[in-house]
Amino acid sequence: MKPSTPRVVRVLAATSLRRFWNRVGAFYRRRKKGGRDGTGRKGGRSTIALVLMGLLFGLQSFSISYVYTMRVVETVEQAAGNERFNAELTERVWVRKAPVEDALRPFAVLLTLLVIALLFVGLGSSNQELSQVGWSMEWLFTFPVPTRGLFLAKVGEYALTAFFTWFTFFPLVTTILWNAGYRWWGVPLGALSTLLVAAAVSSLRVLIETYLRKRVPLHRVKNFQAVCTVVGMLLLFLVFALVSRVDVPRVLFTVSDAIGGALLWGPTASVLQIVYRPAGALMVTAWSIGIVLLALRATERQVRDGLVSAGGPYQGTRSAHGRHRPLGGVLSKDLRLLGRDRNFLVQTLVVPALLVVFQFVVNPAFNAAGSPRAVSAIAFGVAAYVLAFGGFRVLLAEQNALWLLFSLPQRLDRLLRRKTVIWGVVAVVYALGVMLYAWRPIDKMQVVDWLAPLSAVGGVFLCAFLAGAMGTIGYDPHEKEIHKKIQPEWSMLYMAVAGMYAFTLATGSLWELFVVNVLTALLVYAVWERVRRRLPYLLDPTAVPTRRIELSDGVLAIFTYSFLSRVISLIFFSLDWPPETIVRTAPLTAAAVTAALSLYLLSRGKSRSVFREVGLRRPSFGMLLWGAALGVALASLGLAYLDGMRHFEWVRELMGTEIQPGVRTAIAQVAVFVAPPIEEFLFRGLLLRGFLRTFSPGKAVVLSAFVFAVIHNPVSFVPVFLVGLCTAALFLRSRSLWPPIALHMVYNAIISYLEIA
Amino acid sequence: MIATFMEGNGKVVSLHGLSKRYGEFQAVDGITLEVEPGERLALLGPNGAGKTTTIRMLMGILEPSAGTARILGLDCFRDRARVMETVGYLPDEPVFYDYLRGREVLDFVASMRGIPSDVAASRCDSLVERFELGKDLDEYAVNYSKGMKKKLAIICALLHDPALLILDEPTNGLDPYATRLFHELIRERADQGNSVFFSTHLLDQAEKLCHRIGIVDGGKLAAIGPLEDLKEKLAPGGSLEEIFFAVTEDRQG
Repeated sequence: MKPSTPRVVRVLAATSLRRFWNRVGAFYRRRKKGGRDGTGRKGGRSTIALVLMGLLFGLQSFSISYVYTMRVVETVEQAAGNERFNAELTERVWVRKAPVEDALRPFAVLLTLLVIALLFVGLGSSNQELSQVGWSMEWLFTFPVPTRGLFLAKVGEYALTAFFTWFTFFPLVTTILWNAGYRWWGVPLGALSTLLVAAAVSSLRVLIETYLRKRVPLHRVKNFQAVCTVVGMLLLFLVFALVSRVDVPRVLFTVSDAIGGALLWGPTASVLQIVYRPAGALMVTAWSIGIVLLALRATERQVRDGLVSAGGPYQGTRSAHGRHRPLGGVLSKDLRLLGRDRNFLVQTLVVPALLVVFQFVVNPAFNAAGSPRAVSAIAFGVAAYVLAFGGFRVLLAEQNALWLLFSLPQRLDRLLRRKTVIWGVVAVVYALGVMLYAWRPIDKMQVVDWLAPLSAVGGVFLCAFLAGAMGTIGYDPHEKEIHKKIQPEWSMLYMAVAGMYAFTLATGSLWELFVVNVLTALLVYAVWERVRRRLPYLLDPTAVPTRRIELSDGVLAIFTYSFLSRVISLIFFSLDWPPETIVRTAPLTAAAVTAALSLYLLSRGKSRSVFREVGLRRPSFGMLLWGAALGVALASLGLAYLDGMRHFEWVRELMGTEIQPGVRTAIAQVAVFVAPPIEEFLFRGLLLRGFLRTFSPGKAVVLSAFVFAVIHNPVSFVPVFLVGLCTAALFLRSRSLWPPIALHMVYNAIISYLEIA
Repeated sequence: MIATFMEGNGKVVSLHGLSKRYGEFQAVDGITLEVEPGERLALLGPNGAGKTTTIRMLMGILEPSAGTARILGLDCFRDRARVMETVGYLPDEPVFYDYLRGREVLDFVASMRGIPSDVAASRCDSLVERFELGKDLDEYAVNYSKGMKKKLAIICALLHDPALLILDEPTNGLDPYATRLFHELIRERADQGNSVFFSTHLLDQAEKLCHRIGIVDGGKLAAIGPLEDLKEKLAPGGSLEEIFFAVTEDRQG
């Protein structure tokens, strides 16, 4: 009757697999009519995003490991007197020849550091199970099964799902074995030894977790986790610094000379015995099995008299409360929580600080990059990172007590904005700290060098509001698990926008800095508008009214388009494509992707009216004619204006750069055939429509024309603004995109033709 | 089952001086009681009296600060796995794995208890039918409403036909139909000679279902005995409500 240990492990493994399968499978199944299948669907999407990110990360670790193993070998060989490094030589050294131990000792130190770091990281803040109130083990304990089976299954689960281990330890060991002459055999051997080491680490983790759950109240556990996070991160940084330095630091060799030889026989690095002979795997197997068995026995002893002994969260810490706080309401509550949940505190505030300090200490290149613009970009980046954790969670921080805020007689978006301000201030402090530390004035300070730091501070505030709104929009009320409640696509979007901003801070011109600020501010306004529309339905998502085009759709599409055209250009550029081909294909690809993506996202599950709403409908012939005629008129105006502008020094400077004739033709082709359709779609079909939802038609037309003019060249600001006004008016009149496209095409054709001629 | 009854002193549950202390806070203070085979015992008490803490200790989850807890003569901690063979447990707020459908939860419970699949299927079917849960079994269990979760957890607890049921606030969240059905089930089980130990703060439920009632207050067992005895001793001619208030107010005052 009573299931045996192997059976328990099998049942639990099958259940875990089933859960994983449901999670992934739910992605492909359509949502049942009226069913509440939301949980699975969203989960599937985030799983796929995670798998993709994991693959990228894994590939990167492999390449880093490969380069690194080569470098260590090179250094060892140089020490041995082999001046030149070549593949043949490595082959000889690695294939079980004399100086092999010299090369292995540094790896032994490195692997040991890595394993210790992995243990700490496993116990740290990312470990959700430890900080949760309801614990699955309590339920499992009510089954008539041997305790050992429950814990063994847990060890197995941890070992197989230890992402950090599989993305760091596995690539490193596999590349070492590959270079040692095992080639493809290195992959299964690497996987096997990673599994063994991961099992040993997991069993220790289970032992410590069980002890903590049993003896330590939950709030202290969180403090402990905070410490583990810091230690683990520091160790990982150290490993990363050792691996990513161009020259392998001497200190690694000094340490490895002292203890590396002994470590080769220990539990953490005996994997390397495989380099000598395949039977070396027995060594690591013996160590791991021994550790797992001992840890399991100790764990069993722990729970002999009950699984839990300490109280629940904060039990035993009752105290009289009555102290007055200067900040009232939501802010006071948030600050109090931040003070008590040290785990969250560390994640949001300490880790980013550590990251910065460590970079400054370890990475000399970071210190040298002291130009005002680079420092501004770095300061902004650090602050944006802080916000990605703190600011993104303004709504999430309410956790399951969200209903409480809904029952308050205050507008929820205002409450959230107040919380956002706090995070903005915190992030600005970080940014200022970095700037104060790294600021070095340079010889020729230009206007943009002075403005960059100012813009960085402003940008941090914009980012705070962006994070607050995006964390709210991305909040998934269907998802039951707190740490999966924010959909990953919104975090990615946030990072893309912050990345664009940082990039412009570092390299952009004055005008580009202006443009990125205008666009980001517009995006902030747009996402908060969306938050305001969405918030009332947060607790009952089924009641959300049919979605219509809103401002955020337009602004996000514009961001996507400019982001994609930049990234695609960079990719084509790195492929060594000829410049005229890049100029032609990059905007075309970006336009096609952006249009398809926007239309898909807007029409998903909605009526066909989206296509009509953006103006994809047949216009009257008269309207097209109007468009063409206005195009001619505006072009002549524009030419006169541009001719007048040439009298200014700065305009001549800006336009003075010589462009090859081939590229010039390609630019003209894009201006006539690619730019008008996509820009009209973005600025009239989406942006103007979005503005129309909150502004009067007159204001909406002017605003859309302004944004349209801003993202173009500063020289032609006025004529482009006029084009924007006319196309917007035409769009409103005809309710079709084609007349504005006709206008835009004619205008661009005339201007481009005369520019070339 | 009979063989197991012979071990120990023949009591199904026996708590002796069971206590739990968190720092300065005494959650449970020396509870001593016994449950006879086939007996239904209710633990009554106000919120925070220590009912759930007692039950968690009885289930071998929470380590007591002092005292012993035995089920069928076996120690609830050292012989946990053997004890659980005969116990069906319903927690106050059942938590299920996410991404597991109701049916898969039941399959999991059956295989963890080593119930042959044909036996499990027939028992599941009859219980699911009685609780009218059939059409919801393909839904993810985390999406269930509170009452549905409770129903699923009751089925989990009954799946292996346990000699002893330990229930924490069993009808909390159930609708009147499910409550009536649950009462029927409890009586049926008792008719077959099984025991039930449950906590509640519904006085009429305790009155209707139980042979004996224990009143807990401030972690201490304030009174225990059959309803008639309690009435005679504490509030002659009064109702259970009057007894309850007499006992608990007395302590607070």
